[in-house]
Amino acid sequence: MPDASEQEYVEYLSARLPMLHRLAYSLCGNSDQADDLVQEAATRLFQRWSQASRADQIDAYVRTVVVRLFLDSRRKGWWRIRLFAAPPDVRRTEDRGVEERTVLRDALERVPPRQRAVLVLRFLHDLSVEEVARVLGCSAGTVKSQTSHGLAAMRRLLDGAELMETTKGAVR
Amino acid sequence: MSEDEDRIVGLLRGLDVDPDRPARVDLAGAVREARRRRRSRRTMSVSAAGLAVVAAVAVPLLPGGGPPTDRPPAVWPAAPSAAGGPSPVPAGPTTCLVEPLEVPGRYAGTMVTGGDPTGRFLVGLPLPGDDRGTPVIVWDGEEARQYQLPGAEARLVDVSSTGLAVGSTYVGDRPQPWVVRDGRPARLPGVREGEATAVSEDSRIVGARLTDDRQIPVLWSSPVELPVELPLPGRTWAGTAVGVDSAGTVVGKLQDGPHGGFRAVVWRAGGGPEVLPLPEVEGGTATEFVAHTFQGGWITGTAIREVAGARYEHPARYHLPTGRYVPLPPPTTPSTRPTPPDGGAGAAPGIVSPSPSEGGGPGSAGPPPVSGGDGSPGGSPDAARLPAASGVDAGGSAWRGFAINAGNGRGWVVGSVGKRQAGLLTDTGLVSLAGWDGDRGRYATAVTVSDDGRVIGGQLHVEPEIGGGPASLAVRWRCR
Repeated sequence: MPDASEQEYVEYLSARLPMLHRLAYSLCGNSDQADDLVQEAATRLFQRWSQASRADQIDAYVRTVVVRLFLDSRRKGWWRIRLFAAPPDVRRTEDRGVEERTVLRDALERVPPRQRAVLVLRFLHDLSVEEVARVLGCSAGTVKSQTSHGLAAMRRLLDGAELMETTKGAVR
Repeated sequence: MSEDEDRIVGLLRGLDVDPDRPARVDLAGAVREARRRRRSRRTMSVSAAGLAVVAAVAVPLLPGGGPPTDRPPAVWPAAPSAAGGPSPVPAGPTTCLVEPLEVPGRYAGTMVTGGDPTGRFLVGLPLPGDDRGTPVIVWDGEEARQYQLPGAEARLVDVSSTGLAVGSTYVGDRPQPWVVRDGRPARLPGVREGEATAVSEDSRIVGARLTDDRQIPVLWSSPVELPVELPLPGRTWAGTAVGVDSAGTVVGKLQDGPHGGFRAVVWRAGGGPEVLPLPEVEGGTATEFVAHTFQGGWITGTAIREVAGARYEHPARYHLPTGRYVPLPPPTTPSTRPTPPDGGAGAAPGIVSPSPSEGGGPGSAGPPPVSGGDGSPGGSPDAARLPAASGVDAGGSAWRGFAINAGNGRGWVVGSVGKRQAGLLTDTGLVSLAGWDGDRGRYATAVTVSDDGRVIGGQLHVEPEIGGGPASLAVRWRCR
């Protein structure tokens, strides 16, 4: 029989699973790895639930756990094990934007993890510079410089890809 | 932000799409795992502080509010003899009573092939198997459930405390990995030929894929997910995984080429493969280490030292968190200690000493080596005084007559003594697992032991006058 705090935890997290999975997916570009990240984040959240549930910004806390786990997993390299002989990535070919997204996704995955996290949080999850700084545990200035480095890395990686030319001016 | 940067940002926003499928996250599993981690952290704190006195109090360190279905506490009351020592030595059970495992239907015999860490579930099979195939059995406490898998020689070899059982069956002489999950047998995805050998408490499964008769270790993150192959130490290596834990650490037994000696290999969450060093055994360094099980950080298996063509086997255990081999005490009983610190409690029923011909007799056993020793079984004070590889009698090549089948989360091991008597070897010594009426069971062995040592599964080979014909009979020992 789950106790009240467990019930509260399950209710809270069930509602946020799509958001967390989407964040994890943006970071690692793979649903299986995203599941692993969220599963581990969920475990850690319950370990500290008595404190976390009283926090003012619990959403920010959980998001921070996911991002830091992502950075940690990249540092340790365990994700390579999962990639080894991973099942074929089934992509939705009926989607007209799929090719463009594949090129973008491949480029993003080659951006260093910390810069990638900054780009994802700022531009895919619309966090402010200050919020990103709190998530990553660094200064706002560092977030700005990481943003700049990350965008430059994307620019280099996409250089030569036809995407830059064909979409030039088409976006925004 | 420059125009160029703006353009990149615009492109990036094109990635703002939902994942290609919904999340597959097990919140109940997260709760279970979080509770397990809390418990183990408490355990570590107690050990680190050297609080033997605290551990000696027979109060399990359960967190408040833990559901009764949780795994048993990781801390066991320490042996009285350990009080005041440098580190608590968990005391094992001293008395075990055997009971038959009932199976509906008429079979010539039955066997136990595995069990879960809590002792709730045992898995096994009836004998003899034939071409029509025999069922596999899952015992949940007293209740036996049978499941029919296709093919022949179906067997389950491991089960989690949630009842997820894993194993294999042979179809057209080729093995297939299967699970029994929620009362239904199902084939594991992604491996046409291979086997499942172990399951973690959070339903990760390991085993091997068979490719041109070469085994490649694999890990299924869940029973419904495609497996990943675990990287090998080299191109010519092959083998199978034998255990996985809820942290994602996998242990395997691999060999370099078809004639290479077996080595234990670890893949931790974060890297791998790591080939473990070989243990020191009586007479020198082992030439092989065959891992059998991986439970609670303990890799237990058989170390083999080959000398002039003869192979001598020794039980060995490696404690992964501390990175050391920890010696097992000689397979003698506490009652043979020169001065039992517990006032002779070791003379309790169920404890017997192996005969001197099986090695280790009275006078040969000193205090048991404690966990965290020098990592060398041969380095224990009494080991040097004993003849190496004493088991040239009925015990075969086994270490002082003890052959190991499996280990548990405390590093205790089960197997057989002299291939005749089932036994549990804890840090305190050997507990004999008797049959009915003392000595009528023969060729008995124990194949699985729960983490608290209270439930042991195995078989007795029953004498003709009892069974009407020599037969294997699945049994459970309940210990205290």
